[in-house]
Amino acid sequence: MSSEEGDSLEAIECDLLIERFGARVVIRRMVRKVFDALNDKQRGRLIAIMGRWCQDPRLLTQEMFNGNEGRTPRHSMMLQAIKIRKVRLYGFAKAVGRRKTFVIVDADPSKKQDKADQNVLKRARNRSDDVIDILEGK
Amino acid sequence: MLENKAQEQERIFAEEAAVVHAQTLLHRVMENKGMSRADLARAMNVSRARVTQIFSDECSNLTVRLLARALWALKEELALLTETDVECIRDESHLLAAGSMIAERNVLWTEIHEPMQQCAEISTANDNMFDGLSLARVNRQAYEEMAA
Repeated sequence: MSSEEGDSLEAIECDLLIERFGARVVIRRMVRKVFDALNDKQRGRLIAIMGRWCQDPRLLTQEMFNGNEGRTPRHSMMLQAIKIRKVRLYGFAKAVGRRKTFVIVDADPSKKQDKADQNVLKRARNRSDDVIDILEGK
Repeated sequence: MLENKAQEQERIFAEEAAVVHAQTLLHRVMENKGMSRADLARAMNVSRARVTQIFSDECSNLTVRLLARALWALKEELALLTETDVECIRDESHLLAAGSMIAERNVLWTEIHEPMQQCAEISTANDNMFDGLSLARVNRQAYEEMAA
């Protein structure tokens, strides 16, 4: 990772989870502990799905990825979700440091039903806008 | 052989990666052939619920045999490769492509990645992984004109 890319990730307080095929998935540190608290099987499956996202999001099934969780209020960025059973990681895809990046901004680890928790969705959309503000220097 | 915690995690991650790989492979083949899960269930002569199970997180019974059966129903055959095999094939493709730049016979496609990636890779024209992405594909003649 170049120093410019590292600076970009540091500016949005993100850790790198995986990078492959010239793309990567990063997670905001405020969400990291939720991810780390999952068991090995859950994290393993999520990391594998993220790897496939890096290769091509179209490879992913509806159980693994939802490309449309609604748009964010200020930047109209499409919120998306990397999923396993009962866990959703919300984020958005954008070039960060000139590299295609999925930025995870929120997590819903206790999803008890198939439908998304609207409160978490709203929070995720707002968090996405906050990150985009930083990336665009606003 | 006793596993320590780190080894156990690595093993679990490798297993989950293999399952995700199998599921995305099946999904990709179905998409390419325009087949729904209901179509696959009919072709495999199983219930729709059975096919849903194949794509679920747990899929504890996603065996190699079942995967092969699903692909056979899609008129495909399963080929198993290790990462080492894949890297060898990729290296050979690059060598072949580099050699083909000089050869007169083969058509060579140059794929320019999205501007954010800043690098160009040489690959064969049949590389379906790049199909439909925001890439400009130019034939060898245009490439040589660009390079001049």
